[in-house]
Amino acid sequence: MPAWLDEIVSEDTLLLPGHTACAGCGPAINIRHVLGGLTAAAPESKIVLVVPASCWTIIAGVFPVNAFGVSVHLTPFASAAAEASGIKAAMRLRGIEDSTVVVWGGDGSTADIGFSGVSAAAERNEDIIYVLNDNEAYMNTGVQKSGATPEGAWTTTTPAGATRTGQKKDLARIMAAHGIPYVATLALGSVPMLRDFRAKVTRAAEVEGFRFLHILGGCPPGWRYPTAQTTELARLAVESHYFPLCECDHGEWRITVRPKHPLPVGDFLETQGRFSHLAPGEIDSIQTHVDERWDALAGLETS
Amino acid sequence: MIQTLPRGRVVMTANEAAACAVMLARVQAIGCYPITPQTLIVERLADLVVGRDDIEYANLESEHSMFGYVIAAARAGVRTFTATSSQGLLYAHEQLHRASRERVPLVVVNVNRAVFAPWSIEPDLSDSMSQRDTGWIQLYCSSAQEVLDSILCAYRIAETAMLPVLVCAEGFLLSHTSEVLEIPDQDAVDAFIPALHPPQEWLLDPSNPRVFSALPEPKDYFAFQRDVAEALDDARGLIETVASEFTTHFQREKVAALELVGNPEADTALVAIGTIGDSAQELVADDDNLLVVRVHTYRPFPAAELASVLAGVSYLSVVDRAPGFGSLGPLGNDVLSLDLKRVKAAANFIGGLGGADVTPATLRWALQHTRSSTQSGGVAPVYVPEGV
Repeated sequence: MPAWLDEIVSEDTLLLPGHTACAGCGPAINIRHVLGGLTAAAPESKIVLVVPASCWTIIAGVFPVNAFGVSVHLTPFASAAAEASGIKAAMRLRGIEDSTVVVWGGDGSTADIGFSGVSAAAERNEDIIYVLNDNEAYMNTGVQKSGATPEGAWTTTTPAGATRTGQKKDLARIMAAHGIPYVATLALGSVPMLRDFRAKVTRAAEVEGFRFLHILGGCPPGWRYPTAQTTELARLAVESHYFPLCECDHGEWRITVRPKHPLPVGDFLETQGRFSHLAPGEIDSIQTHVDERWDALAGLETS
Repeated sequence: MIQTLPRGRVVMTANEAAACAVMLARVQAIGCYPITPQTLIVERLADLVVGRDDIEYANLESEHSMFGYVIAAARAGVRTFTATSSQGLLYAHEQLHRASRERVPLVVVNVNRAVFAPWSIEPDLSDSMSQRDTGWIQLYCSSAQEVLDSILCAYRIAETAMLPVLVCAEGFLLSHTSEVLEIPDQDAVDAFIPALHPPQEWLLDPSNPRVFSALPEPKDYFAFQRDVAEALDDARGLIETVASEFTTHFQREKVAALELVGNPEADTALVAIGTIGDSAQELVADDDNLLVVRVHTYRPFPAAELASVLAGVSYLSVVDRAPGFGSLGPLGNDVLSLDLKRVKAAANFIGGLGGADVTPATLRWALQHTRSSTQSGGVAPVYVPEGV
């Protein structure tokens, strides 16, 4: 095992054993590497996690238990970004310089009900890390469509066969358009992707100002797939260009993982029950949109 | 250049007085979002914090975020302030419930304004009255001086009781009307308001990992709510003590729960709140048989004290400046639910909505209406007719 991987495997986890996430929860794996990566990059810095209403309200522990090795401030659905700003302000006033304030917000919170707050905190360039924990629907309430639900996906409020117009919001590009110092997309589908993931978390720890990490995480009950397939689905999402891994560091766009032989998006879609109703023509349409988004992203690269 | 605060005897509006009080209280984090008629408070504060690295001032994108900002900053251990009106207070509604249940010692000024629809920027109390069940201490003022003094007391009350305090002042009638008032010296305020020291187990401390407001079992949830109710009940005595200490310390009378004017033995009483309670005081000059009760502390409701001062009253008029859709007005409901055995006739009047005038003549009409009535409470309020 390479030394960098050995270090990661042997580090203390800040999401403690006994948490109540579902088996196969992608975000549970992702948050372990966000917290681990931030701690490895800045060991002295104490993390405060700000969590709006979500599965993570429950995973954080039933009173009086804390499932995390860090402080957790729970907020209403729409105000996590503003509250992270308030906590960071208080840390400055109290002279606590070694604090990292991290929002862990779902796609409903970030793309929908809390979007104005996220946008405003970015516009103010608050010195916080905002993580969009994207599982592509309101999963805690039982799989309802959010602004980050992909076209064609079944949810309980977009049943199979329902007319669904529009496409998943491209939060990374929207946030980069705020001119913030760092934006990245992350997913954990393989060991090389873990390296990419941790490099982006490290970069987020180094940069000052508003940092936005968009992380895709599979949800077995919401996406309808066997719990053992979580990392495999993340790999397929990246290798099919469904979820490109990229970053925008101080305005410089870069695709960080460029699949050598891109897979058809159908390879990703066919693994999940939420897409099982799609007709071949609908998959072709999704493929067209995936290709358009990839080309647009490639066009943003400066070199 | 850092601006200095005016001091001593000055002429200013309640909005300016509020900004001065907040600075004198050594606020540390201010959340801002504009809304008429409150805006002048946060504008004045923006000027006053220029060059101050000991104060954070944030422009938020909504009142919901603004309340979230000050709640989180307070939770992380600093003294906060924000101000709003009308739609802004309503937009932040879930944060109000949450602030009291998390025991966050906020001080917020609400400059009262009517509620949409239709649009109005004129004063009435619909905005804060509709928040009366959110677990906040509510103080209603009737002068710019009382706004300043109540804000200073509010920090003491909030940080002792660990409950949020809403200081209410009617828009334009107070917010934009200049009055003569006294601004205390910084040293005197420093001696009155100690530095903020929230309980360690409540404080968000990054080096002591804890989760706050985590999902409890039903019995624990129930216990948390009961604690809020008990803290509000206990705050009655605290509000009294702080007002009494204020009076001694600043040599200026500070109303605690109720202001009484007129004949305490009268058989007729008028209970009102805010500036109507002030206007009503004019009536006692030509009415020996009248007691005017102005309610300053509305939550926690001073039920026992009111029941005591109204015990001998036969004719009781309660005047609200907020509607009572489907019931009595808010103050009417609270006062007329007291056990007042001597009352022969009582009525709840609703006037002044959306800035409509409530003059001494209006109140004389109300008293006459009650005296000529035989109803001892009634189920419906009397909306003051146009022209009285």
